[in-house]
Amino acid sequence: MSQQIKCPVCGSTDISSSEHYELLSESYGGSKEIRLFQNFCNSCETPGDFEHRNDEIIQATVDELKAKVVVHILNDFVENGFSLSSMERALELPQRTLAKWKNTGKPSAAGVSLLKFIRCFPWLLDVAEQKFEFQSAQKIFVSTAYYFIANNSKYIDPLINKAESQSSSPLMTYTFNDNSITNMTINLHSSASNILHSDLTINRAPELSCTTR
Amino acid sequence: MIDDHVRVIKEFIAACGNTPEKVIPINNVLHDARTYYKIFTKRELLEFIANGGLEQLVFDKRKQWEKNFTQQRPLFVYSFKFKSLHLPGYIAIIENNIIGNWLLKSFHPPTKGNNPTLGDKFPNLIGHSEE
Repeated sequence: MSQQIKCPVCGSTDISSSEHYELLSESYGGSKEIRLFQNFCNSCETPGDFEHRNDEIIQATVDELKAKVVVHILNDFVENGFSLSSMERALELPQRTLAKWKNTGKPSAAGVSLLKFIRCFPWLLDVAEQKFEFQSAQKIFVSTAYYFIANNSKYIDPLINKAESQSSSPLMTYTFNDNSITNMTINLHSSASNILHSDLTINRAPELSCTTR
Repeated sequence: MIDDHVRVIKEFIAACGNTPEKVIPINNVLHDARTYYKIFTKRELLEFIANGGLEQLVFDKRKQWEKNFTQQRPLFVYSFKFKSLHLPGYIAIIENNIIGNWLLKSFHPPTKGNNPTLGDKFPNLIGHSEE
C-alpha cells in the first residue's frame, strides 16, 4: 500500500507512514481528539499528508464541533429564560431558524459566528432590538462596561449571572426614555451575594455622570 | 531576474486557485494554519490564498533550499511576509521545476511562539534562518 504513494516533492516511492493524535477545540463546542496520518519521504526527508487523508477527518470533526456549538449556545439562552422566537425576531431572522440550526445540526458558518457573538456579548441582542442604531448601541456598550467596572472589574458571564439575578432582585435595569435613547438610567441594586448600590445617568453620549455609594 | 519573486508569487497565487492539486503543503504548514489562523484544511488554505487573503504582501528573501533532494538543479525558497486582518504572517514557497508543482513550505506568524530568537529580533546582525 505504502509503495504506491509517491512523494510530491522528489517523486520517490520510499515513503513511510505514521499516526499521531491531535486535539481540535471549538469555543462553546468542546474538544475532540482525532487520529491524523503523516507520511515521510525517506529520500528527501519531507513530511506531509501525501495521501490527503487528514482533511476529510478534520472537516468532519470541525462540522461536528460546530453543530455542538449551536446546541450549547442555544441551550444556554433557553435555560436563562430567552425564547428562540424572540431572539429570531430581534435578530430579524425568519421564525424557527434557530430551532432548525439546533435540530438539523447543520448550521451555516455565518450562523455559528452570529451565535458565538451573541453568546460572548448577550447585550448585542439589546443592540439588535434597537435596530442596530449606532448611538443606542454605543450607550448599551457603555452601560455594560459600567456594569463591569461596578462589579470590581470581575468577568461575569451574563447568562449565568442572569439566572442568579432571577432568584433575587435584579442587579441592573435599563431605562430607555424614548426610541432615540437620549436619556438612560441604570440602577444597580444590592443582591445577597454582591453588595452594590449605584446609579448612573447618561444624558448625552459625551456626558457621563456617575454616583456610587 | 531581480523581480523574479513577483512572478513567483503571482504564479503561486494563481496556482492556488486554478490548479490546487499542484500546490503541496509540506512540513507543518497545515498544522500551523490550523493553530494560528483557524484554517483547517488544504482546500481552505488554498482558497484563502487565491482569494487575496495575503494582505500587504512584502517580499522577504530568496534562498537556496538547503534540503534540496537533488544536487543537479538548485531549488529556491521564496519567503514573504503578509498580514491577514491584524495578524502578521510568514509564507515560504518553492517552485519545484523538477516535479512541476509548488511546495508550500511555511505558513505561520513571522516569529513563531512567544519567544523570538535573537535572529528574529536582529535579522540584520545575525542573518536569516531558514524557517
